[in-house]
This record gives sequence, structure tokens and C-alpha cells, in this order.
Amino acid sequence: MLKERNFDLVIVGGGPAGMASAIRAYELGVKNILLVDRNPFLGGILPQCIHSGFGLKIFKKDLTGPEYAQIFINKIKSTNVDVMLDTIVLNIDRRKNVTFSNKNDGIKSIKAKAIVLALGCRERTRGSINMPGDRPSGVFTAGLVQRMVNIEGYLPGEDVVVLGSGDIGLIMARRLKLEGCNVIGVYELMPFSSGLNRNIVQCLDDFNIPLMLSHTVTRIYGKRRLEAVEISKVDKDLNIVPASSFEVSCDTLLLSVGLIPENEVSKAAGVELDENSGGPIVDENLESSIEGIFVCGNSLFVNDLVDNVTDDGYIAVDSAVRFLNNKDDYRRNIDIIPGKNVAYIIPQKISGYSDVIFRIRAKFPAKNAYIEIPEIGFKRKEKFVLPGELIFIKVGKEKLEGFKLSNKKIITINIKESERYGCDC
Amino acid sequence: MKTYISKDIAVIGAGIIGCAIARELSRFDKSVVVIEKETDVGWGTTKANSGILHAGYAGDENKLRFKLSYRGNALFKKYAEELEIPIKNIGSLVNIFDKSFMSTLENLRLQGIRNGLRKIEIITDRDKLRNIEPNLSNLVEAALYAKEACIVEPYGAAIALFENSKQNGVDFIFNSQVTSIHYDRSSKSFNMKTSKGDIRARYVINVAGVYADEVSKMVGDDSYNIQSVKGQYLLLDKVNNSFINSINFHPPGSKTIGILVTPTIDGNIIIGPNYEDSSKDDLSTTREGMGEVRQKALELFPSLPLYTVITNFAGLRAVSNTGDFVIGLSPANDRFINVAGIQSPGLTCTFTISELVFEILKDVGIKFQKNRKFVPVRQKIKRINLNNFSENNELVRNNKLYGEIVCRCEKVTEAEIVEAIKRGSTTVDGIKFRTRAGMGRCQGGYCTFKVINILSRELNMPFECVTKNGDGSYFARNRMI
Repeated sequence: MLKERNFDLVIVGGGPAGMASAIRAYELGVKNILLVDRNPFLGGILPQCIHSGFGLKIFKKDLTGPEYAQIFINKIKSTNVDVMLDTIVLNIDRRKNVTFSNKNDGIKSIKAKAIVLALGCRERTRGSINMPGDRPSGVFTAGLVQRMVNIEGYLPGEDVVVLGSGDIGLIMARRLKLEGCNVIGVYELMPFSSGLNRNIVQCLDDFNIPLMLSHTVTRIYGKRRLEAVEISKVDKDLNIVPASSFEVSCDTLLLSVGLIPENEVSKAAGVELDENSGGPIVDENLESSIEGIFVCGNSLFVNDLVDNVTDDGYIAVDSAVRFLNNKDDYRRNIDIIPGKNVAYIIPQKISGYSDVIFRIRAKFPAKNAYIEIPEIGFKRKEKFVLPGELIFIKVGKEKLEGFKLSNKKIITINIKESERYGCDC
Repeated sequence: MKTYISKDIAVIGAGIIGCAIARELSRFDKSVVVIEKETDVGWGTTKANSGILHAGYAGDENKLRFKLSYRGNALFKKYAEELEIPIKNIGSLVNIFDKSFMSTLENLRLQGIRNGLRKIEIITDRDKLRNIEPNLSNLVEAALYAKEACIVEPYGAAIALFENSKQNGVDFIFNSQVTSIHYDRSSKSFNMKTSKGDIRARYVINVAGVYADEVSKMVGDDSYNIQSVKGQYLLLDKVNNSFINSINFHPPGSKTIGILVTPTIDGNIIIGPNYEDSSKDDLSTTREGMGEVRQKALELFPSLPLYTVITNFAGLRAVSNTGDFVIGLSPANDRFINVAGIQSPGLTCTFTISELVFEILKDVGIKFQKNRKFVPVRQKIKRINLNNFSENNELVRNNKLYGEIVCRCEKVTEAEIVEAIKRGSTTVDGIKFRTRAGMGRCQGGYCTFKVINILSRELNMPFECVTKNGDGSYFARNRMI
């Protein structure tokens, strides 16, 4: 039973973002910290990510998901942070009352001075992409199968088709191949993969799993269990190419068709969301539209590397601590606008009074490109730009100095093909 | 094979109508068995249904299906209270885009008044219409507003009727398809072969949905045929629950008849169904069908947030070649009763049909005595109470599993899932229809393996034996080690 009713900082979500937040908050001397998670363990999605590739940036080591998580779990154990597991947060209101439910307390409300939302993300489903056909068993989101295989210890089927080349799809294609499944192929609607390049090489190429771009599943067949899928080619406008369809027999279809930042609780609190990123609108401190509510990890936007998630956890808490100490009252009135070939940018608003890290997601791949922020005369060359790999740009506050005095409170970020290199012919 | 069960009356089909008939009969002293080929109740036409109780204004007075609907609406409301069937009275609008359809609306209104409806009017005042339905298309010229129309949870109703029938002594046999029926003249009873053994009964009620004609043919009755007519639906997320207030129809007579836009009892928006002839086992959705549904829904609500669609599915209407319900004694056997062709507004007529079937059985000469132990009420599974913490925490104190939320989208607790299993769920879909676990926006992405684990624990069966909806629909092929 939770005795305390008031906390300086409540962190919702015990994945990498939430764990980093809790540790940083402890290190910075925050007194009453509560970390809440719905699972019976800390680590979020990491415990089921038994592949390697975690920690290259922060620890300069190639760790597995559970190893990466354990470093933070051990640190939290050495602190006096209150950790409440098996607890689901049902609601947060504007005044930072946090309502949760668990077996011991039932439904209960506590009050926080500041909140970090580290809610993670969820997978897009068959329904959300309007996939037609029968409704048999055997159509899974890739993350569900990852959980089934790596934690529960069960294989979903024998003959596997993967739709979508997001990172989980690529990782699970390899995983099932290693377990002896017949992984027929990975089919991707877009003319490019949304996964990390290294995953395409290490998960598909190294295992002879074909990647078919500009293809999608157009029909599901099967009365009880999946029996086959129909696959069709799509043109550059993503329309199905007539007479291009063929059937593939399979008993398992994995969907890796995108992730959606989890924000049911944020929405309930009244936090403003960004249509482009799917997460809350934040400033350079990762503070949402509600003062004292900070956001990090995949509930802010879907990250490609856990290392970045950890970093954002630190930033969110640094800001939360400044907020708790009433040190920061700048107005965030400069809007950051995604320009040419930019899907979204975090943060969406800045003050101009402090350094900023822009996290930029490209819409389409580009070669010999450059990133341009015309309003502050910024330009940087990028040999390759890929939607699967986030672009970071650090802009010092001195660069924003002149800008914050001007009347025009908009900054645009573009990704353009290089003038110097011209077209890539 | 030895006869392993012998009853006075056998009901073939555990859809909502079969269950309602069973429940009606459970008031009396006769022994009743319901035979169902699926693993659970309401898995045919019942589960993929618009969930509308029509007000009872439509159609030809000479047709049974329209005659039964006006009183059906009132009866349903009464039984819903007794059996805690989810129901909401929200009214319906038949919207017309063209003034030339005014006479159609007027005819419907007059028909409604002849049937006894009072709360029915034609609205031509745009502001008034906007008041009822703010997001309705500006192109709507007028609408017939019938306040008596309701939304219900059709599978929830079937489950309620199943539970109450069972409580009152009715036997249900699932996973059991009737493959042949032999009538024995000397003993005046039917011998039915099923996939689960033989069943003997003195009377048979055929409520086999789209397969009813095939069951009738087993006793030599080919007096009607059933064409299955598919309807595709799209279900939208709950975030839009302030978007729409009532049931919205296109005008009748146009070829889009049937495609409606309505909130569901649980706060989603449902659009559909289209109308296409299909085979009896075809529940597939198609690009074209979903496109038609989307387009017709957008005509009524141009700003409908279609990007929030969470799932698509199809259902089958059982349409008889008589154009009407087929309810009565079979011409081939006077102990065999057909309840077939229960197409729209079949759900509305649920309890007028079950009453009618009871009258037919009395006319045949069955002497019914009251079942003294009959319990008319049934309680639905107690939900987590998000509005009253102290009431909720009383639940948690008595049963800790009420504190454990398994389905985060629909806020379903482990206690509710365990209770659903106690009440007869054996599959993941069974749990879904009883508790809503897995029905939300993540479509089971988060809770499916938890539900599998709970089923496995409670029913003491291995993880890989748990299925989505019965034989062959396994989730896991095998254990890895």
C-alpha cells in the first residue's frame, strides 16, 4: 500500500526513459520521487529485446536489451526512489493529480509537483491500416510475437510473412529464422525501409531473407488460422498495380507497420499534441503545454535508438528540477515548423534563451542532402538522409540571439538535395 | 453411437434468437437443449450486427418482420432491464438529401403512427437538426426522427440470455454441428447426429441462421431457401464519442439502404453495413466493400474521423427467398419448427419472436407447466468502477484481481476475465465479447498474451492449446524448449 500522498516528482513509465529520469532526479537531489509502471518489472519493452545493438552511443558497448535495462535497474535499486510496479496510471489532471490502480491500493490518487511522462508507444494494428480479408488467428503485431517468443517461450507458427520493414519487423524476421521458422519475406509498402540500415544488413541480408519494397498485403485468407496472404505491388502513389497480385501460403503474418506514441493519459491531462509526431508539443526543455509536465521517450516521438531515449530522460528531468526550483520562466513563443522533406521536429516550440537540440525526422530518403534553417543561416551537409535514422542538430543560444528580438517567431527546418552535387545521376 | 442426451425440445443454434427461445422455454417444465456448432453463443449473425433496436415504423404491414418490430422494441427494453443487457435509447434519424424523398419520410411517419409510435416526427428545420446532430452533412434536407430507437450490444444480449437460460436449467452443447436428423414415427422423436454424439428430442426448433435451410432439408423440408447477404463494417475509436448522438440512416429505397452511422453502446462509432450476396461462410472484408461503407458514411458525416478506424469486420444476414421471416411449423413435420430468415429487423424482434415460438409450441399441443425455480434476473459481470473510487476499492478489498487492469484500452480487470471464464468463456474471443478485453484501440496488442495466460491458468490447459475462437485457431504452435 502506498502511504505517501504527495510527491515532488512522479514518473509514469519504467522503461528506459522513465528509468533514466528517476536516476537523474535522485542524483540531482529531488526528495520524493515515485516511479510507476504497469508491468511487474522495470525496463519497459527492453526485457523482450534480446538482440544486441543497445548502448553503442552511451556505453560504447554492444549490449542486449535486458543488459542495457539491468544497468539502470541496478542503479535505481541503490537509490531511495519509490518504485510502484504492477500499477496502471488511469488519469492525470491539469493540477497534477495522478490516479492509478493496482491490486493493493485499488484506485487511488496522489499529487505531484512535477510529472515526467515516459509512456512508451504501441503498435499499429491490422485494423488501423484497413487490411481486408478474413479474420483468422495468426495475424500478429511484431511486438506481440517478440513477447511471445522471447518471454513466454512459444513460437507462433511455421511459415512467416512480415509486413513492414520497421525495426521490430526486421529483428523478428531474423529471430524467427533463427528459431527454425520459414521466413518467406519482408514486404514494405514504401519504396524504402523505415528501419535502421544496420538492421536491414544484419537481419535480412545476412540471413537471405528477401526484402520486397513497394509491396503490401492486400488480403488475408483463413477461416480459423491464417492460410495465405495476397500480396500486391504498389506504384509511387501507393496505389495497387493492377494484375500484380500473388498469393503466398503462410500461417503467420507479422505486422510491423508503425508505432504510435502512447498518450491517452497525456490527452486526459489536456496536454496539446502534435499531429506530425503523434506525441505532445514540447519546448527545448521537453516541457509539454502544461507547466510542470515533461515528456520523453517513445511517448514523445518514436525513437530509433534507446540511447537517445535515455538522453531525453535526463533532459526532461533536468528541466523538471529547474521547474521545481522555479528557475525558469522564459516564454516559448518561437514555433518550429517542419519544412521540405521533414516529417516532424522535436521540440515544436522554443524560447531562444537556451541551447536547443533539434530532433528531425525525414519524410523520404535523400542523397547528398543538406539541412537548412534559413532563419538563422544554418546549413549542414548530410551524405545520406533516411527516415529510419533521426537527425540531430544542436543550435547554441548565441545563434538564436538575434532571432529572439525579431518579430517573426517562426523557424523552419528543411532537408534539401544539395545544390553543389545537383541531382544524384 | 449411443444416444447420450435426450430432451423434450432441442434448439439448433445459439444465436440471440436461439438463446431467447431457450430462455422463454426455461420458464416452464420442459427439458431443453441448445446445440451450437461454434465454441460460444452469438458467433454467427449476432456478433457482427449493427446493434440497433428500430423504433418500429418501417415496412409493409403484411410482413411478419415488420409486424413484430414495433412491440419488439418495447419488449426488448423490458427484458434488457431484467437481464442487464446493455441498452441505450438514443433515437434514430432517416436523413434525406433530396426533397423528393419527403413523401417517403411521410409514409414512414404515418406507418409508425399506425403501429402506435408517438415520438416520431419529420424535422425540416436545419437548426433543430443541427441541435440533435451537429456534425451531420449540410446537404441533409430533412430527417425522420424516431426517439424510441435504441442501441444495444447484440452479443451481450445473447450472452445474457445464455447465462439466464443455463441458470434456469437449459443445457448448451457447443462445438457441435448437426449433421443429420432422423424422425422416428413410432417414438415421435428426432434423432440428431452431431459432431459430439447423438441427441434425441421430441421437438426441434431450427434457429440455424444462414444454415437454417440446410437443417430444414434434413427433415425433408425444402419450402424455403436462405441466401446469406454479407455486410461489412468499420469500427472507429472511442476518442470521437462526442461526435455523434443518434443512429443515422440513409433514406430507404436508395441502393445504399442499410449503411448507417451510429455510436455503439460502448462509445465507439460504427459504420456499415453494405449489402452483397455471399457464400455462407464468407466473412471477409474487401477493399471495395470498405470503400463503399466509408463513402456512404462520409455522405452523412463529411468530417467523420476515418483515420481513427480500429478494426473492420463483416457479418451475414440470413435472407429467405420469401422476403420475410420464416417462422412456423415445417410443412414436412409438425414437430419441427422453423425460425429462419431472421434478417433486419431481427434483433429488434428478438422477444416477439421468442413469444411467438412459445405460442406455436402451445398450439402444437405441448402442455407447459411453470418452472417453479425460474429466476428471471441475471447480473452482468461487475465492472471496475472508474467513477466511484470507494465503491471500486470495496471490490478490490474483496477480490484483489479487481485492482489488476489487464486490458489497458478498455480498462478490463483480471477479476472480470476470471469471472467470464467461470461463466463459460473458453477462448480469447469469448473473453473479448464478455469483457471487452482486446476490443480497444490496440486490438489486443497489449493484453492478448495476458488473456492467454489467464485462460491457460484457469482452465488448466497449456498455453499453446488456447485458441482465438475454437478448433484450429491457435496462437502458439509449440513451446520452444
